[in-house]
Amino acid sequence: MKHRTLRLIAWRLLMALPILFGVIVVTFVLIRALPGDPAIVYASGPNMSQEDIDAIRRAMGLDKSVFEQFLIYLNNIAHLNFGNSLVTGQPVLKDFGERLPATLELAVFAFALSLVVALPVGVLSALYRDSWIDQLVRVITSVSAAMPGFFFGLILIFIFYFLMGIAPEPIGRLSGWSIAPPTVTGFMTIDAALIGDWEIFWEALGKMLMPAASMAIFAVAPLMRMMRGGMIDALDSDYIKAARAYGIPRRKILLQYALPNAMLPVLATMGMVLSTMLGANIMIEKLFAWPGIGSYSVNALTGVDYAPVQAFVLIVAVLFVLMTLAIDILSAAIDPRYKLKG
Amino acid sequence: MTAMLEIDNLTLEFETPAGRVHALDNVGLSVDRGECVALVGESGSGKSITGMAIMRLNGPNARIRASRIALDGTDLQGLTDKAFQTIRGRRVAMIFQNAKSALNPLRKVGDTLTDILRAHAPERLSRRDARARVLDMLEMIGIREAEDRMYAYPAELSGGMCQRIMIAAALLCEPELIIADEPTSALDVTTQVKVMDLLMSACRERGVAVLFITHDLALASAYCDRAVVMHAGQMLEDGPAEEVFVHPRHPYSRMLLDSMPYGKESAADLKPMGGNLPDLRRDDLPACRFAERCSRVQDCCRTQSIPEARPSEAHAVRCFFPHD
Amino acid sequence: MARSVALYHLRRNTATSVAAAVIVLLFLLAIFGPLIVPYDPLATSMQEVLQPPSAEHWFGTDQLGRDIFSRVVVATRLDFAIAVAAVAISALAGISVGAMSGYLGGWLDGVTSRIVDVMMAFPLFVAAMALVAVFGNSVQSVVLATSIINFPFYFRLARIEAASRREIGYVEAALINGNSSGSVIFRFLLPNSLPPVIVQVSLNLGWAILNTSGLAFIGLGVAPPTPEWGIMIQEGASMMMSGEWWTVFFPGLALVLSVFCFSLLGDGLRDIADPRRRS
Ligand SMILES: Nc1ncnc2c1ncn2[C@@H]1O[C@H](COP(=O)(O)OP(=O)(O)OP(=O)(O)O)[C@@H](O)[C@H]1O
Ligand SMILES: [Mg+2]
Repeated sequence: MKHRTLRLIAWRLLMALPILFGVIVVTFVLIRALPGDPAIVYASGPNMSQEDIDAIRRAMGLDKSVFEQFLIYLNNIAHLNFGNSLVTGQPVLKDFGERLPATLELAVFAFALSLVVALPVGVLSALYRDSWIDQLVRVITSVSAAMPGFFFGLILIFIFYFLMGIAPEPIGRLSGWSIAPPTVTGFMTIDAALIGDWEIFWEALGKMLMPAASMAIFAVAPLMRMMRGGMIDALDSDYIKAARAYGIPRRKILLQYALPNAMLPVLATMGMVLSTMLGANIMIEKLFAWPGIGSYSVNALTGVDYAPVQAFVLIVAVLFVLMTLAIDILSAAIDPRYKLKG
Repeated sequence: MTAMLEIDNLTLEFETPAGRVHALDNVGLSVDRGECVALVGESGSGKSITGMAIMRLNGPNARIRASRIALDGTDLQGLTDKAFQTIRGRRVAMIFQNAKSALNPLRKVGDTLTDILRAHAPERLSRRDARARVLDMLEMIGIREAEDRMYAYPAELSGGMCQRIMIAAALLCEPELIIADEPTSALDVTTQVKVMDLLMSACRERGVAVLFITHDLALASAYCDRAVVMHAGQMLEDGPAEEVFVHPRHPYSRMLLDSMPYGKESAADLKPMGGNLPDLRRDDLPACRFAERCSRVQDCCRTQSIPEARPSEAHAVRCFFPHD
Repeated sequence: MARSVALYHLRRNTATSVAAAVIVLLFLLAIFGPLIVPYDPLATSMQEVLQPPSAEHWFGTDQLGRDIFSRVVVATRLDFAIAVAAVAISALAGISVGAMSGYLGGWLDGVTSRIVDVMMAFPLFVAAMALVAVFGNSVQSVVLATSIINFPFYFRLARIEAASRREIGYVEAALINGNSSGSVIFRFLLPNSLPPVIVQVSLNLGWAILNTSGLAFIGLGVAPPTPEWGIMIQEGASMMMSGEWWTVFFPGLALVLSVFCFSLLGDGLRDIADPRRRS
C-alpha cells in the first residue's frame, strides 16, 4: 500500500518535469521576445559606444547561437542567477529574497482566510439546503465571483479606513514610525511574536486584514461553490444513507464520512483557485503598496526592467506547477481510487 | 406470539416541487422470526421506500402515516430520533442493492465495520476488541484472508466481496430483522447464490426475520417462505410463496409471473407487462391503482374500497375479482 | 423540440433572462453610448473637480473634473470590444486546433496537448501580464494576451468533443459518403460541440472584462486618459482614502454588473445545455 503511494508520487513528479522544462523554455523565449535588445537596455548609458554594447553582448552571451544561449540560461537558473535589476541595481535574487516573505505572509494568510470562510459556510449551506442561509450563500457566491479584488479592497478602504476609521492606513506592512522586528522568518507577525512584541504583532496583523480579505475574495466563490456541491453529493450518496441505516452517530457521519468525500471536488478546483490567487497577489500588492514580489515585478514591468519580470514569471509558474503537484498528491493520499487509476 | 415486524396501514407521501407523490397507500405486512418474506413488484412500485420507511430514512420531504410499525410488538413510531438510533443497525439492519456504493469509498472496510460495532457497543468498546470481533464475523461468514480484507478500500474489492462485507455489517450487531433491498441484483449468478445462502443461513440458524426486496421472482420463490406483491404503492397479494408464485390470485401477480422467463416452456408463453404504473402525483388515482391496466376491471375497482379475499388462511388478496 | 425546451428553461429561469436583458442593454450602450452621453468623456474642467453625484453630474466628477457618468458609459465600448474580440479569437483558434487535434490524434495531438499543458502551467493573470509586456503596452496586446490565455479552455473542450465523437455513427457515415476529414470536422463535429462552447463563451466574456480592467489597474494595456473601468478605478484609488467614493464606485459597479451578468447567463445556459449539472 505504502509503496504504491510512493510510486504514484514519483510518477507525478516525472510527469511534471516536461511541464517545468516547457515553462523554462517559455520564459527564455519571453526575454528574447521582450521589446528592445537586452544589451541596449542593459547598457543604456548616455556615453555608451557601439563597442561597449558589443562587449556587453558578448558578456551576456548574446553573440552566441540561440541554443548556446539557452544552455547558458539553464545554467544561470541552476545557479539561481536571474540577472540584475536596472531599477534597484541589485541581483534580482537578492531583491526577491527581501520581498518574498512579505508576499508569502500575505498570500498564506489570505488563502487561510478564504478557506476558513468558504469551507464552513459551504458545508452549512449544503446541510441547510434551500434555507435562507443557502439562498444568501448563493447570492454571495455569484456576486463575489464577479467582484474584482482591487475594487473590493477599495470599498473596504472606504468603509473601514475613511468612514469608520477603525482600519490602519492601507499602505505597507507597518506604519512609518513602527520599528520592524529583527528578521527571522520574514513573516512580520511571527517575527514580532518571537521577540514577544505583541504591539507590533497586532499592528502587522491589522495591516494584513484588508489586503488579505481583498485577495481572498477571488477564492471564496469557487471554494464555497465546490464545498457546497461536494457536500450535497456526499450527503445524497448511498454510503451516507447506509451509514445512517447502521446507526453510526450523526457527528461521525458528518466528519468522517461526508466531509472527506466532499473535500475531493474542492481539492480538484484548488488548482484554479491558486491560479487566481497568484494573479490577485499582483493587483492587491499594488493597491496596498505591499512590499512583495508582485508589486516589485509590476513596477519593474512598467519601468522596462525585464530581468525581474522574467524571474517573476518563472518563479510563479514553477510555484504553481509544484502546488498543483502537491494537490494531486494530496488527492491521491485521500482517495484510494486515485491510486488505482494512476 | 407476535411477529417480528408488523406494518399496518402505512401511507407515505412525498412533497416535491412537481406536486405530492402518493407513494404508499395503506401498506401492511408482517415478518416472523426466522422467516423470509419476499417483497416483489415491478420497478417503482414502492418496495424500497417501504423498507426505508421502517428505518426512517425517507428524507425530509416524506410524510409518513401508519397505524402501526412495530418491532417485536413495540411500536417504533413513538420513539424519538435519538432512541431510534439504537434500532438502526442494532435491531434492524439493512443491506443495499449496490454494496460498492454503500461503503464509504475513502474508508477501509474494516474501519467502517468497527464504526458500526462501536456505535452500538453497550459499554465502551476498544478499537482493538472491536476489530477482533469484526474479524471473527468476517471469518464466520467464510471470507478468506479476512485480515487483509479489513485493510482494503471498497474500490479494491469485487462487487460480490463488498456485498458479503455488507452482510457481515448487517449481522455484526445480531439484529432481529434484516431488510435486504435487492442484495444480489448487481451480482453475477454464481455470486448471487453464495450471497443468498449466507443471508438465508442467518435467517434460519439465528432466527433473524428477513424482508427480502426483489423483482427477481425466481430468486424469491426459491428462497422465501412468503411473498408480498406490491403495485404502485399498494399491497395486492400476500401469501405463502408456493401459493403466490404457483397459483397467483391477483390479476397483477399473474401478469408479473407471465412476464418472467422462469418456468416457461417456450418464449411464446412469455407475455410482456401491459401498460405502465400510473403517475403517483395524480390526485384522481383509482381506488385500485391497477385498475387502468387490469383485464378484469369493473367500475367498482375505481371507486370503492377494495375488499380483501382469503383463498386460504394465510393468503390474502386485495381484489374484487381475483382468479380462483 | 429541443428549441422549445430550451426556451422553456430560459423563460422559467428569470435570473438568466434578466442577465441576458442587462447584457443586451450593455451591448446597446457599447454601440450607442458615445452618442448619448451628456459630456465629452475627455473634457476636463478645473472648476468642477471631484464634485459628488448631482443632477448635472449623475455619477459626479473625477480629479480632473471629467464627468464620470459619461466616462463609465463610453468605457463600455472599449471593455466589451476587447472582451468580444479576445474571446472570438480564442474560441475560433482553440476550437479549430482542438477539434483537429482530437479528431486526427497521433503525434500532432500529442505535441499540441503538451504545449497547452505548458500554457496552463502559468497562472492566468501572470501570463496575461507577461504577454502584454512582450507584445508592447497597447490595446491590441491586451486582446492578443487575453485570447492566448483563454485558448486552452476552448482547445480542451473541442478536443474532447471531437475525440469522443470520432467513433460515433454519423461521423463514420459522413466519411463513408465521401466527405473529407476537413469537412467532417467543420460540418459535423464543430456544430455539435456548440452548446458547451456557448456556455464557455459567456463565462469567458466576463473573465476577459475582469482581466482587461485588472491589467489596466496595474498600468498595462489601456492607457489614460482613455475611459476604461479599470483605469478609472486605479485613478480613483487614492480618492477612496479621502472619501470621494464616486470616483471608484461607479466604474466598479459597471464592471461588477457586467461580469456578474455574463456569469449568470453562463450558468443559466449551462443548465439548459446540460441539465444534469444543474446546481
Ligand atoms: N424522495 C422522493 N421524492 C419523491 N418521490 C420519491 C422519492 N423517493 C421515491 N420516490 C418515488 O416513489 C416511488 C417508489 O420508489 P421505490 O424506490 O420504492 O421503487 P422500487 O419499487 O424500489 O423500484 P426499484 O425496483 O426500481 O428499486 C417511485 O415512483 C419514486 O419516484
Ligand atoms: Mg428499489
